[in-house]
Amino acid sequence: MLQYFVKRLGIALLVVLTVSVISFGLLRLSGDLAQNLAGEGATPAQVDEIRVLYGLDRSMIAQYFDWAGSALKGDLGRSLFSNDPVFELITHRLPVTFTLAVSSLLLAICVALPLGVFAAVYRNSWIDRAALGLAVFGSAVPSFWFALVLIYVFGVQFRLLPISGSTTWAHFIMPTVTLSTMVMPQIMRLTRGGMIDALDADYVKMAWAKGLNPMAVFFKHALRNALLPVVSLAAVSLGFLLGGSVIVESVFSVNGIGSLAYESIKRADFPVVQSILFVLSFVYVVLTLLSDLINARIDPRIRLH
Amino acid sequence: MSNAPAPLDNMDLPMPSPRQQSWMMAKHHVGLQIGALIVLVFTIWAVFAPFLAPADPYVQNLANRLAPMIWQDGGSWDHILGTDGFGRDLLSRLIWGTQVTMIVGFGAAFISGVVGTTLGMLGGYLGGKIDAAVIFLINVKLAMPGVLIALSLVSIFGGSLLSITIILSLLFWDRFAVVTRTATQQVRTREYIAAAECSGASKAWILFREILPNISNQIIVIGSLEMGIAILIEAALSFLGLGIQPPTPSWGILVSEARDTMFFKPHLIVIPGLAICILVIGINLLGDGIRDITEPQGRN
Repeated sequence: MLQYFVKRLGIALLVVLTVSVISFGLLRLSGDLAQNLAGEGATPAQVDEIRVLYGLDRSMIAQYFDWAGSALKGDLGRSLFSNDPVFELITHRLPVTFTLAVSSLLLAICVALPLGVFAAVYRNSWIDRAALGLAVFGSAVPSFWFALVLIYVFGVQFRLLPISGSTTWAHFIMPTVTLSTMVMPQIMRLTRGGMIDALDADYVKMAWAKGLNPMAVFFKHALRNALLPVVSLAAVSLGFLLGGSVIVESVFSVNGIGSLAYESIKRADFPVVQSILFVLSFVYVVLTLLSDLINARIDPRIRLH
Repeated sequence: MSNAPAPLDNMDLPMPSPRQQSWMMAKHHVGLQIGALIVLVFTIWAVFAPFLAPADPYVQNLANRLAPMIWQDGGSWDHILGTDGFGRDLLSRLIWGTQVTMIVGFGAAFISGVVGTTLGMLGGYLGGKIDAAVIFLINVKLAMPGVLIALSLVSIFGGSLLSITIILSLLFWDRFAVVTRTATQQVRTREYIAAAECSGASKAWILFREILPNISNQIIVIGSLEMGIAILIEAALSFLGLGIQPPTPSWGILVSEARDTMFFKPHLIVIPGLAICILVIGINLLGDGIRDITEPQGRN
């Protein structure tokens, strides 16, 4: 177990390091940072002065280590736009997006898991067909469009829900529903597939042969094994939702990290963009590491590989 | 001998060839037929847009803004789906938008398919350090928030058709790599690979002539899936203003331009959104259907 853990941790660290290099490179790709900082009407002399002041005249490698060093201490630099510390901007916005992503994931699981189980148990029945139809539709509907349709129906026609902002819990309903459609089909298909495999397996036939009641067979024997891949998918989905919420946040004007990223990209505020990319990948790596450990804990076969 | 009776049983008839079997299965596969029909219609729209579009998609007519659809009060045959906020013909913009959508969707799926399949096959067949490197690359790709990366890259490189296609193909190669790598590992242990190795076939021959044809099923399914996702992301990027740039009629732009008037002209949003939805469903049905009819296990 320890060896497995150390190996996974080493790879995770290496991934984070690579991502930090790439997101750093992205910032440098965006053009002359000194020119950006100096503004439109700056003379070449002023631009050079800023270049020296911010250390932009040094080699890329020196600059990277400089940035990585302060990032380790929690200093992600300052926004070019508002001059606020990037770390504060992100920690201020992250809880909103986190709430949105977690509630979307929970909603998706609450709908997809029972649906997947029923679809597998009553294979080829109308429930199965309805679930598959929903999955097909869910993975084909553009989320920004679905958000607008929800706004039109529930915000404007019936006036049931607020259409923008993130101040009360009611503001989170439509964004949560929209965002959950991005992961629901996958979770449903995976649960259904896992359940079908498990129901055909010998240990489930054995459980039937022992004369256990159907509920015990379905939930204690089949579902438990079908859930293993779903745990991994849930972790991956949460990471995906944190980064993918940008579309939903911008439609519903939710003040999360997605809309911060979107605004910063639009105004070329690359210190902020770079840090958000880095923080989100870091969260993703931590989540997948956790899910691997949970799976290794549940399933000893994984540890031995 | 000339009067010999014809054989009564069909035992001696040759087995239908794999191609004939696939064709027979396709005739009964409703999902495949619906998917093929949808994709065919949109492909025709894309290819023949200049001849099919009733009007110029760029010509504005401010005197005739937000004209109603044909079946609404005051609708006319001049603008079957009405006009948008600039008086442009919606049907024409929709048909021209198909071109943008299909080029970006197919282009991104194709390029990422080539990149991902190459990486996956190399990792799966060669194993060892190369495999470890491929897995590492996949892990790095998975850890990066795709939509945000795409948005930043578009803001750097601009929203031309070519740059969007290339940026999107950077996002989708990982699933091809994961699937082809696993499939290659399974195929690698088969006897015909060993036979090819014994007869002195080069690595390139084995990869492209022995392995690739045997994993092409999976590649087609992933390709259709990724083409659908690429179309959705392109629409989302264009909707957010960091994708294809107006006035080019991308379906995402049609939705974003109609946002201001959506409360009294909802059809301007509903129609392009439905078009995206239907095309993506069609592509997915077609991909799943092709897998069903070409899969050797699926044949009788």
